[in-house]
Amino acid sequence: MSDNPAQSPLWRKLLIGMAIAGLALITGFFAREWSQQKTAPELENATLYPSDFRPLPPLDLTADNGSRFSNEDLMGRWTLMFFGFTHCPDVCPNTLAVMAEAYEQLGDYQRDVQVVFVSVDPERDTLDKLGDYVGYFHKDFMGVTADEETLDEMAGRMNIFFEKETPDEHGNYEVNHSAAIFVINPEGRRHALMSAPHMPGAMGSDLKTMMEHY
Amino acid sequence: MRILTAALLCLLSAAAFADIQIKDARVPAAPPTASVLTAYMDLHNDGDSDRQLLGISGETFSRIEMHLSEVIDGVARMSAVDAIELPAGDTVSLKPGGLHLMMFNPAEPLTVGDEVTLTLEFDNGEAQTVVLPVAKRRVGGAHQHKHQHQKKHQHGHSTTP
Repeated sequence: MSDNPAQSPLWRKLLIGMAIAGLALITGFFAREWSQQKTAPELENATLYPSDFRPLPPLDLTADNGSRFSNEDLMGRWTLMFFGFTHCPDVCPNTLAVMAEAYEQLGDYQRDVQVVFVSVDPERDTLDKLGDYVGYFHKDFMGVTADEETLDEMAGRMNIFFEKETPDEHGNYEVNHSAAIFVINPEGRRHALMSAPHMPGAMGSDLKTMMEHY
Repeated sequence: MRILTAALLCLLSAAAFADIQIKDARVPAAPPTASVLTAYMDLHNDGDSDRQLLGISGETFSRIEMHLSEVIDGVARMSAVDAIELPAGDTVSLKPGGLHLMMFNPAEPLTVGDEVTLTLEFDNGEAQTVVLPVAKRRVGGAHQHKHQHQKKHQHGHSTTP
């Protein structure tokens, strides 16, 4: 009981008001935390895989510097993976140029991202040629490839399409290939697909958004 | 040799009447080791009749083809085309992810600032020579019109062989 009964209702009102305000603040804080962790981020172009991100199939690739490239090389960082070939004047170099621009927009996030170009034309894309080609677009980018049988198996298990066409009378052939870019998360799991047409702004911001929500 | 020169000049003189206007022609810079390069441009048919682009030649390439890239069901497909239709009054763009040139085996690596000379041959027998700058590859769909590098060969000087 208060010594001053006349002021008691005011104190009570103040206390109740403060309690409500405090509760609202705490609720708001947790709601924000919860929403950041649990709800799907809003992405401009990329499409997230269903939440049970599947790991990639076992990879047995060779990087342009001659070292082996396996699933371990996907761990602890984000990977953008694109499939193509260097005897391609339009789609492949344009996609690599977009990826280079997006990569440059990543700022502090850049060190946690690697860009891997998988050549589906090992017959013509020697490691040296592949390294020179990919490195032209960005010094950090890496080219990888394997023999056709290994690539076939990998593509089948990743649901990627590629198909070598019959050579023309000059011996040149096209390789039709999936136009999408795979986003692989730091656990080596398929996280999202970015579909063509690729734009550097959307690619960079989608990647950052996914990294923030991970 | 002189006969060849004369024939070439006759052919080029036809360009004086050309109603195909070539704009924004450029060769996007590519890795020095690239064995194929592309070229993009806008072709505007200012005339009254439909036309076709039938072929392209350039001395610094072993051959040049016209190609079409398409993404069908998520798969990028490339195929050669025999001709590019140029309807009267329309502009057809050779651009990333669509119609483009496929230029094989450049004589030497090209870098930004270099120039490439190409001759376009049309179905009415006209030919037009274009000088394209090698330029930084544009990304992001921003379509900036830079200065135009187009050389129209005016009346050929007749030389007697």
